[in-house]
Amino acid sequence: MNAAPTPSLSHGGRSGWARTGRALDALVTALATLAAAMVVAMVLAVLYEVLMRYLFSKPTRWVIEFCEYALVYVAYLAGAWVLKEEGHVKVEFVVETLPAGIQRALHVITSLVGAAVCGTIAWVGTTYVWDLFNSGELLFRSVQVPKWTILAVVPFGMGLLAVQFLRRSFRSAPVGPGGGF
Amino acid sequence: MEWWGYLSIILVLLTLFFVSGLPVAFSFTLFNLIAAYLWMGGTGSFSLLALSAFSSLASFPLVAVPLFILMGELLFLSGVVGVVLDAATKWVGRLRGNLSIVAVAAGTMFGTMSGSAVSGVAVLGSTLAPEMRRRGYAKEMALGPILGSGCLAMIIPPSVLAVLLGSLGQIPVGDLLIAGIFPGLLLASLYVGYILLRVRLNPALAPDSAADRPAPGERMRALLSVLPVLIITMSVWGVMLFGIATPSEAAAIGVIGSLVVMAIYRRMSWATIRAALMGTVKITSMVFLIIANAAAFGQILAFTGTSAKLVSFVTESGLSPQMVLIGMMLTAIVLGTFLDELALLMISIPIYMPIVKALAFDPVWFGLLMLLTIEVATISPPYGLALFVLKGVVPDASMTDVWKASIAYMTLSIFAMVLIFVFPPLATWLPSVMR
Repeated sequence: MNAAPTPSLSHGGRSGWARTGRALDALVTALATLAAAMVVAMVLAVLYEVLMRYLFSKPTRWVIEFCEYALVYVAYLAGAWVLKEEGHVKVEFVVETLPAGIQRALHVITSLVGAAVCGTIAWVGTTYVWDLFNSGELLFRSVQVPKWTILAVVPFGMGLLAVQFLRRSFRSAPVGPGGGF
Repeated sequence: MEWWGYLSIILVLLTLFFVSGLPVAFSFTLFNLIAAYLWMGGTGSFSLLALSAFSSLASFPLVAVPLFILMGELLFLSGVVGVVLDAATKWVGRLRGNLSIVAVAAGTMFGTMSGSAVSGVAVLGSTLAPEMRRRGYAKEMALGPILGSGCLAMIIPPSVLAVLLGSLGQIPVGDLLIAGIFPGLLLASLYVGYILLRVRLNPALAPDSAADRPAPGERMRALLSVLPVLIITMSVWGVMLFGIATPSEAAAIGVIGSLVVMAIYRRMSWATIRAALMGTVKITSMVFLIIANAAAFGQILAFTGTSAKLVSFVTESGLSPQMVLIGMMLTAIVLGTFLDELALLMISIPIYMPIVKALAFDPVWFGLLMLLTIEVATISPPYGLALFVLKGVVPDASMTDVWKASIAYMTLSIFAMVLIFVFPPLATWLPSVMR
């Protein structure tokens, strides 16, 4: 299932750019690994709930909420890594029939548009989460959680996606065969 | 603006973003940003977009998405592909065209393990197609069954697409998953029947395979080797069927079962588990960043009055409910021939569900027909996703070969849709006796 990793911007150089690139790659991969750990936690939590219900007739209250919040975290923690691996599904059959020059231009344009979209959501989301933080709004379920702690991952993940899209715009485009099948 | 004006702008803009190569997830977010700005009062409505991820994703039934994907990844990494192909080959025996039938049998079994059509087509294409070419199978006999049965994974539980469809359309996910069992088996039988008929009418399509007679005892040995997987997948079905566990819980049980299978086949290692987890995270995040836009997209449709006006247009059109439903399915098939399966669900479900409610269709029946629609769209020329996947793993086939092979299996799938349309219990009976 794993596609070959895309070559990173950093070519082992010692410049500030290369070092920043390597640090970002490491950060993005670490966050995806954290998302994987949350999937494991979900499996364990759900099994714990099943066991408690059937063996001890003591259904838990927190498992459902924990899993629901974890879904949001998995999606946004791993988003930038998935982009680095070119794993976000896209329609390729039209682009691949275009001349190579246009393919390269479209790669840069869509990367910049993606950066703008993710950047906008990151900015909007940050103000939204900041308001939630100040108002101290709680998610009233069986366990009370400040709402901002769950929502903050959205602007965080989108901010990283914006950065990753910008880096992607510098990277050479994967040029398809061109000229039809 | 009229409802059809909004609807055309929505379709045109989204299609434009998709074909530019912007990933589907961010195409939807870009559209939501533009639509919220233009139609819902400027940047003030943007907080709705920030909240959309939470309202769309924080829902317990969606837990089944990462867990079903993880179950499939673990099983595939445990070397189950070889075991299943071997068992299917032994049990199909020496019929003429046996490898085509093996493809259907194996595709059906993969369908019980994994929820992804693309991986089914890729696995069958890369393992069976070269062997079929070597033995002199006609191209349609090799490519067609792989396309058709690889896509059974979308219908046979656990189907990730069924979970997403249920969650987007507020159809009970457990019912929708269970509803896929009979239609999935029906499709597999139609494919087998068609293969047998083709080789009977034209024996030149497939080589004589009398040499494939399994030695005595081989069938039992093959069954034993495949038994651990069968037990796991059947217990995932069972706990859902008997109402013992929700789909998300059944999926967690399936994950543990897959680890046991891995241990039995001696493929358990940290490296494989890590690979399965990272593969799961990759698909889950990709899917969820698309789904995260669903709440905002639905609000935009509701705010512009598009959904409500479309419903009154449809109910006042004087068309019978059956005609409306046929029209909906045909539109979805046409859209699905060039849209990604998830994009198709994202666009069609919020538009279709109000109509389904207004005309009082059984939502499970409708959901299953939609799944079949997506299956048809995925294997239909010219741009069905499965065609490209198959072309990718079978480089010596031309796109025209794949197109030609797909037509019969597409027609059979449409025939199955018609059967379920005319005889709804095929889909709705099993969920109705659940629990």
